[in-house]
Amino acid sequence: MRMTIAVVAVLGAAAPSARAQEAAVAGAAPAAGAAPAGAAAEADQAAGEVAAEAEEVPEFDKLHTPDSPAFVILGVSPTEIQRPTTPREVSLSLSTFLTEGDSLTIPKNLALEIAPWWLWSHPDLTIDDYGRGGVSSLWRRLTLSVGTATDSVTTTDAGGMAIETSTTDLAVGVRTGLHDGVSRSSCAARVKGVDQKLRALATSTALALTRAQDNALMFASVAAARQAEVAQKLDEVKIDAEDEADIVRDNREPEKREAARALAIEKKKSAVLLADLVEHDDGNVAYQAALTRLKQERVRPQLEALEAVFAECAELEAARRGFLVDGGAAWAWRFPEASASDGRFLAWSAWASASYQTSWLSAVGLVRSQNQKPTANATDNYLDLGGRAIVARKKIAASAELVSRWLVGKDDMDDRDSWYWHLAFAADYMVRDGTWVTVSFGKDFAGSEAGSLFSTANLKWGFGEPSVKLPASP
Amino acid sequence: MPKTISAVRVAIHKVASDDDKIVARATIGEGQEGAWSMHLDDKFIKGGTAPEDVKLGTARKLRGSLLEVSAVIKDVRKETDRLTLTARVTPGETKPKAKISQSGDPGDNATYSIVIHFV
Repeated sequence: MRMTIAVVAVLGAAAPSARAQEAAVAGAAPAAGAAPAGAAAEADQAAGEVAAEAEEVPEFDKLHTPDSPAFVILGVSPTEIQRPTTPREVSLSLSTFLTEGDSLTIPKNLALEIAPWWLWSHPDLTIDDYGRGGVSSLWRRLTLSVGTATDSVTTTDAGGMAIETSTTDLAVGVRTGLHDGVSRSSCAARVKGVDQKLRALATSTALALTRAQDNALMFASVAAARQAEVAQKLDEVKIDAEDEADIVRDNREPEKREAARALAIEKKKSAVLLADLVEHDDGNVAYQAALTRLKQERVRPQLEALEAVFAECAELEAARRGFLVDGGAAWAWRFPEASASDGRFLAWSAWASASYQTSWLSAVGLVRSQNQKPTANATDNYLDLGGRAIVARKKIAASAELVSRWLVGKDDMDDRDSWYWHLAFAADYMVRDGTWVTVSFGKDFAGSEAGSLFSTANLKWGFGEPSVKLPASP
Repeated sequence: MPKTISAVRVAIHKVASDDDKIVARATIGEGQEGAWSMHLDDKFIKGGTAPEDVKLGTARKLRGSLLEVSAVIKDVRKETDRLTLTARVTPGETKPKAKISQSGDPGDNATYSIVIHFV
C-alpha cells in the first residue's frame, strides 16, 4: 500500500499543470515571463522597424543568385557580368529544358554548383564570426561548379555535303568572395529591442523543471515492470552525514534547511532514476519523448508573435550592401559526338568582378582574361573590360551591360577585328516567391556577323535549396 | 510558411573532482541568429546571444542537479538550413555530446533544450 501511494505521489508531480509550469518559469525567470510593458512595446516597435527596413530591400537583392562560372564560360548565361553574391550550399541550373517544337526535351545545358564549406556542419560559427568576414570568408564563399552544354555544328565535306556534328562542352569553375562588403551584424545587435525579446523567448520556452518535476518524469518513463523495484530504491534514499553537515552550515533558517534537505533528497533520487534509464533503453526513450512533448507544449503558443520579425530578419540578412568583390576562374573542354577520346581543351578564363550596392542601385565592373582554342592548332587571347548597372525596386529589376573585348597578340596576317563589343539589356520580374521571369536582348561579341543579335527569355525557379533554373534558349 | 522545429537532448555530465569549478558555454552555430538561456534546476542563471562562459559552482554542489540550455534559433543563412545548438561543460565528461543539429527549410525556426544531469 505504501508503495502504491509513493507511485501516485510521484506521478502526481510528473504532470504539473501548464499554469503551474508557467508560474514556476515566470518566478524563476522574470526576464521572460514578466517582461515590463515598456519593454514589450519597445520590442513591438523594433519589429516594425525591421519590417520597414526589410520592405525597402528589393526582392532582387534578397534572393537572386548569379549563374555559375561553368555556365558563364560555356556561353549559356543570359548576362556576361555576374554580381557578387552569397553562395548556396548546392544549386542546380538547367537550360533549354522546355520547347523545341513546344515539347519537353532533355536539358542540353546543365550546371551544378556547390559551396563545399557549407556541406558540413559548423557548430562553432557564430553569427558575429560570420559577419566579420576576413580571410576565412574566402573559404566560406568558395564555390565549385561543373557544367555541360550541347550544340551542333554544320560543316561541308569535300563534295559539298552538309555534315552535322554534335558537340558537348564540359566546364569546371571556381569562384569566391574576395571582399565581403559591409559586415552585417545580427538583427538582434542592429535593432533595439530584438535582442531582449529573443533572450526572453529563449528563457520562457525553457522547460525549467524543478528537480522533483524531472524526477517525476523520469519515474514515469521507467517501464511498468520495474517501477515497483525502482520505487523501493527511491524510498530508501537518505541524506548522508556529509550532506547534512553542508545543509546545516549553509542554511541558518529552519525553513531553508528543510528546503535544502528536500532538494538533497531529490538529487539523490535523481541518481537512482538516471541509473535505471541509462541501463534500459525503453525508459530512456520514453523520458526523452516526454521532455520533447513538454517542450512542444511550452513553445507552441509563444513563437507566433515573433515569427514576423524573424522572417524579416532573414530577408535583411540575405541582402548585402557596400563594396563586394568576387573572383573566379573556369576551364572548358569540347567532346565532338560526346566521345571522350576525341576531347580537347577549349578555353580557360579568369575574372574579377566588383560591385557597389545601395538600397536600389548596383554598379558592377568586370575584368576578365580568356584563352580560347577555336581549333586544335589555334589559340586566341582576349581581354574583357565591362560594366553593368542594375536598378532594383520591389519585385522588378532592370539592367544594362556593356563589355568591350580585345583580341590580344593577334598575328599581322590575321584579318580579324581586334576589338568587339557586347551590349545587353535585361528585365527581371518576380512572379511569386522564388520564381523569376527574365527577358534579355542585345548584341553579342560576333561583330557585324549575322546572328550577333540575341534575345533570351528565362524562368528561374527557387525551391529553397537547391534552386532550379529553367531558361529557354533564344 | 516557416515551421518550428522542437527538440530535446538529454546528456549526463560526469564531474572529475568534487572541488572542480564547473563552467558551461552555449553556442548557436552555423552563423544563425538566435538566443540561449541557462537554467540550473528551475533557477534562471544566464541568457545571451553570443557564446559566454557561465560559472555554475563546484562539482560537489552540482551533483544531482539539472542544467538546461535552451535556445531559439532562426535560419537566416542563405548558404545552409542547419540549426545547431551546442552546450559545453568543463571540466568533466559529457555523454552523449550535448549538441542538437537539425536541418529545416529556409526561414524555419528551432527551439531546443539540452538537459544535462550532473553525476
